[in-house]
Amino acid sequence: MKGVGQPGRWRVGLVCLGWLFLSARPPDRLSAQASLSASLGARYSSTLVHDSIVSPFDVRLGISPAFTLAAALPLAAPWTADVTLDVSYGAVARHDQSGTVAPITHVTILTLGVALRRDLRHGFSASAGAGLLAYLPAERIGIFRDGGGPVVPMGTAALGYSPPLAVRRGLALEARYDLHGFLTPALRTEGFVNSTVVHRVALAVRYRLWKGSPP
Amino acid sequence: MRYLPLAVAVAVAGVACHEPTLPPNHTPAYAFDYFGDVFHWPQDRLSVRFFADTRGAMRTYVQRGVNLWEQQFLYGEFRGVLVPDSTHADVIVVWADSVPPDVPPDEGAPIKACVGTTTPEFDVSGVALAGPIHTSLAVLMSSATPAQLAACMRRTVLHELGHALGLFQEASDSLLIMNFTPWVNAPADGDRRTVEVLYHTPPTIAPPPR
Repeated sequence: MKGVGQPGRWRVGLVCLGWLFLSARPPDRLSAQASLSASLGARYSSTLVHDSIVSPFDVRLGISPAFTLAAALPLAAPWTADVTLDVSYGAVARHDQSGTVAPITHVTILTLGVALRRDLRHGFSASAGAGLLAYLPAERIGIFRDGGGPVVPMGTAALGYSPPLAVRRGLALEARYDLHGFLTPALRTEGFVNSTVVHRVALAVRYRLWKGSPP
Repeated sequence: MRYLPLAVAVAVAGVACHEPTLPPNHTPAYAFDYFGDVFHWPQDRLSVRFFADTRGAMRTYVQRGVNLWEQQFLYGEFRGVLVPDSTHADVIVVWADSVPPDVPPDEGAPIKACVGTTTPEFDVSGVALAGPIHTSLAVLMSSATPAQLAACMRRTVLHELGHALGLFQEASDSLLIMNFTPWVNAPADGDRRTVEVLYHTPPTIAPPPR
């Protein structure tokens, strides 16, 4: 009972924290330097579950859309602190060796992260960070029959590129990578002991929505 | 500051290198074949359509049974839905004779107050079902209280739906819902493992035409 309630509270906390971060008005000195950007792209996720019943099969999330809001606060040059809220949504399905694809349900994946970014030469930038991730299934069925599991930590890294022409328009290309452990309560009941390490790669276009004017 | 990204990358790599997931036990608890042949509802026939007799509590029992069987699967192998019209059903569940009163089931010690029958009808080829699977429930012990009868019907509907899913054999373990006489109120771990294996075994009996 305790295990079911806690992930729910964590998820609500994660969402609230995200919205606080997005809606809070920063101090004037900070807002003068901060910027807010949004990115939209596609994300690939590695296998969520590998199992074998008569024959081996995988449970995977298809290529899914990914949307990210990020607030950036410049630190000592060339460093920037990023706070990101990332949402992706996709279909979870079983993929048999025979080619059969059996849909299970849809899931929203929510992450809240912080990263440290460094500007490199020729319009490139690189970042690394950490955050929290939650699976929010559309229905309680299959591997999500007892919920999406607890909020889990994740690590992330990204590479950005802003061509000279795109800099003025606030556009950038971004490749993001992150990883986390996946294990739902239903899988634990089934007998799974360890979580699967899930690797995710996203390619996105980032657009600067707002930038504070220099003091 | 300079080495922070490196530190994060090392921490992330540490998470990635932990022990991989071990597959759980999927050994079936009992046989499920029909004289050597195997039947289960294929992926392209989901959701399986169930019609429940509109009299008494049958609809409640069937809905509960479909939900409980659905919950045994992890990987999208089975889904069922109740339909209002028996002419568009894959499984038809009816009372064989009298309709027991719709009362809350007795939660005490189970008694064998009812009996169920599930009959798959084969076409002339012998390797395909000819029509919907028919299940019927009958009162066996008229001296049972209405609540004891309701509890028996609830258990037996769940057991018969197991046959309709393709579990054509009875289990010898009395703690399993597919025991010849069902004494428990829900599928147990052995039922779950058996129906999982059934739905990953290539069928040799085709479903009825739609």
